[in-house]
Amino acid sequence: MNAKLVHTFRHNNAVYSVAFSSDGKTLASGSLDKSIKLWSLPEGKELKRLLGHREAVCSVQFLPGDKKLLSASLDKSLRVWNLETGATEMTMAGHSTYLTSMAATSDGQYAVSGAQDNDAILWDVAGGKPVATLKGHTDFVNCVEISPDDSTIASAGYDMLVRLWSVETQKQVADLGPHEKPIQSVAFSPDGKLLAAGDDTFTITIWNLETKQKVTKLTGHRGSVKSLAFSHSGQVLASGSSDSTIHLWNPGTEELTGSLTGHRNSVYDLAWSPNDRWLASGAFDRTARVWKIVDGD
Amino acid sequence: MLNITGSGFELCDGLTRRSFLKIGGLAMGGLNLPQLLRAESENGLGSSHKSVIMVFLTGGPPHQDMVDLKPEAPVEYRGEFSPIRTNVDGIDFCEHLPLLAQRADRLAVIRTLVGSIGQHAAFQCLHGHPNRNQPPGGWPSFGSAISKLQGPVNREIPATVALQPKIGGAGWHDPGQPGFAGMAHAPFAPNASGTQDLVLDGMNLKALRNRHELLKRIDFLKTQLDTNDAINGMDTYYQQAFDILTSGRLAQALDFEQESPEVRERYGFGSTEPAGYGDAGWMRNEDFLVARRLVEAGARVVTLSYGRWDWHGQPHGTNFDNARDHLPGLDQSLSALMDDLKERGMEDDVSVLVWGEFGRTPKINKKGGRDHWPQVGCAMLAGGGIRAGQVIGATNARAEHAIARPVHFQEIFATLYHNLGFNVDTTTIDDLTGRPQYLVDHGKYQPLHELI
Repeated sequence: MNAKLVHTFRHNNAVYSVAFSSDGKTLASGSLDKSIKLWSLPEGKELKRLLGHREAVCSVQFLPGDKKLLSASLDKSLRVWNLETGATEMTMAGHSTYLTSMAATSDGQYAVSGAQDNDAILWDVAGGKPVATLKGHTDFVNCVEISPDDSTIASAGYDMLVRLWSVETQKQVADLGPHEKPIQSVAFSPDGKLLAAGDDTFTITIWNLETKQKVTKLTGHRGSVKSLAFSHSGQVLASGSSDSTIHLWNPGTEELTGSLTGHRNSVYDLAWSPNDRWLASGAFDRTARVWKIVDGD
Repeated sequence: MLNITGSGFELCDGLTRRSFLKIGGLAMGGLNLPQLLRAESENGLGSSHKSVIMVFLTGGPPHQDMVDLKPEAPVEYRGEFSPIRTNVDGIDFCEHLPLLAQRADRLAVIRTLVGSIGQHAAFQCLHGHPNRNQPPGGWPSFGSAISKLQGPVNREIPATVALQPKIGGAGWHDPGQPGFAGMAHAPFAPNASGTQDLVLDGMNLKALRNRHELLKRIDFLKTQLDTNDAINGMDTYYQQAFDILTSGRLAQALDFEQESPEVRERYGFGSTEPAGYGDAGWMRNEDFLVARRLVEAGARVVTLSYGRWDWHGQPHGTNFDNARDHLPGLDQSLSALMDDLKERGMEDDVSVLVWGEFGRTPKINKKGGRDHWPQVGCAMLAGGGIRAGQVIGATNARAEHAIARPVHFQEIFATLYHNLGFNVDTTTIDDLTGRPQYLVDHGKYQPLHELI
């Protein structure tokens, strides 16, 4: 498997987050420069700039219908943006220090955020208020994800454990680990059976969510694994690292099937287009990039 | 600072400007031409024009990730970067400084910079004296001291120019204070903002051609100001300011767009946007080029700050994320400056100094950052006729402290003063009580004998 670089989108500072709209025609990028930019695809033109966060934008996600965008920032807030007007429709705040990560359910009704206050917070996005604070981590939370069936939250960070929480009860239901070093990234497989966790040992651990056992470890990066994303088909796991590369893995065979080079700094986020033909990456080199996936060599 | 607003206006010499021109500082030496010539003669400078370009890496650069790598140290100390060989046997640099590595024979690396107070305070890199118990009037910045001692090379270019940006932390964008050298010797700060700014509303360079109009507006401005220390000396450099404003030579020196695309490409391109989070200043490679243009035009001291080097770690990127971001730009712009000076025959006349207010913690913190480490830091020197191609000082196995030849900030300044022709054992400037003050702590610090 290989990929061709199609677009390089620039920010004034590091790009921490990327997300495709559901029709794959727009890419959102969130940056340490406090802005969110919307880019047209496949043309690659900047469509809009969303300004309002007072700190780095660490996560972006389109809400169903693509008319609204949910963002999270180190400024400890989540914002819902109206993409027609570019205005903030709602702001939610609750963490006591840097908010580092955010994920939303597929219906956009709930979101979860993780922060350096060691907590994760489940939010009622429609109502604009917190549902519960998920307490258990003993150190900074670096990453959060929600399972494809919207039932489970995964959170992980410096305490080296992946903690699994029930969206319904907001209780911790399991933990995975410990890893040997802080965990920087997690991703659910599309069927919800596997969870990948990348850490500062430069390793990706694949966990079986039914048995809570390690399935395998993927090694090959030469730096912390900052970002992970399963393709929608489940056939490819993309990983981004502080070694500036993106690796493409076959999670079934554990084979490294491709390596994308071009970024000049840590790759902090990855996102697949809905049809799996495009992969977007955001990196500390102040760029978001769009790669076209090419089968074969 | 005197701001002259306008857009798309024409310079006195007919040059078209696309942006606002800011004429700031109004600092001139306060010496007439005979005095200037006499000062130069007394200092053995003759007609040659020696100068200094100081690059301030605001926030404190990580010495162990730049020029003092410790690949044998435990992983929590040595960091992510590998050393690469330079063109001097036995000297290694960081892998992200490949261009400077090929110019190591023209650099002197100080691996044992000591004497920091551990604060984000520019004065350490602007005059190097303690900030407590200062003499009446306060210590002048290096540039202000030089302005006081030597005056300007010509009447159109201030003796000292500070390119520090108006954005960024207060402790970092400080262009340098004139102290007891007097307001007339404040660094000319075209990019700064602050209480010293004087704005002539409605003036542009076209209007400046009308001398009477200018004088009328300056007179009006003076009536708006209290008679206080901030404007003492105004009369002294009244005429000199007018010369600066009307000659166009300063405007040309500041306008890097006059350089060829090839030269600009060589220096690389920066941005006036914040270089990092929070109180970051900018990281504008073009400032290196402007510095060269200014010393070429007659400036004696040019200072600039570059980027934000205060890298405590996530969530604002690890120390290494930020180093990968900043080091290539420094590598390119500093290398370009060194080559440019050499090709123009200015290398031996222009001392270039690169440093920050302290080093960073040997042990990487849990957020992937390095914190403040005043125990030891680093500096790089080039040009000025120094004996380059050497490292001065050594740190222990984890780059925690100096084990050989600690070098104080004031020793660096003593070296710069020496390069400009001053004997630090005999040269003094009177403070506001009339008491002579030596340029560096008398009897304690000398120029680095290894370099001179």
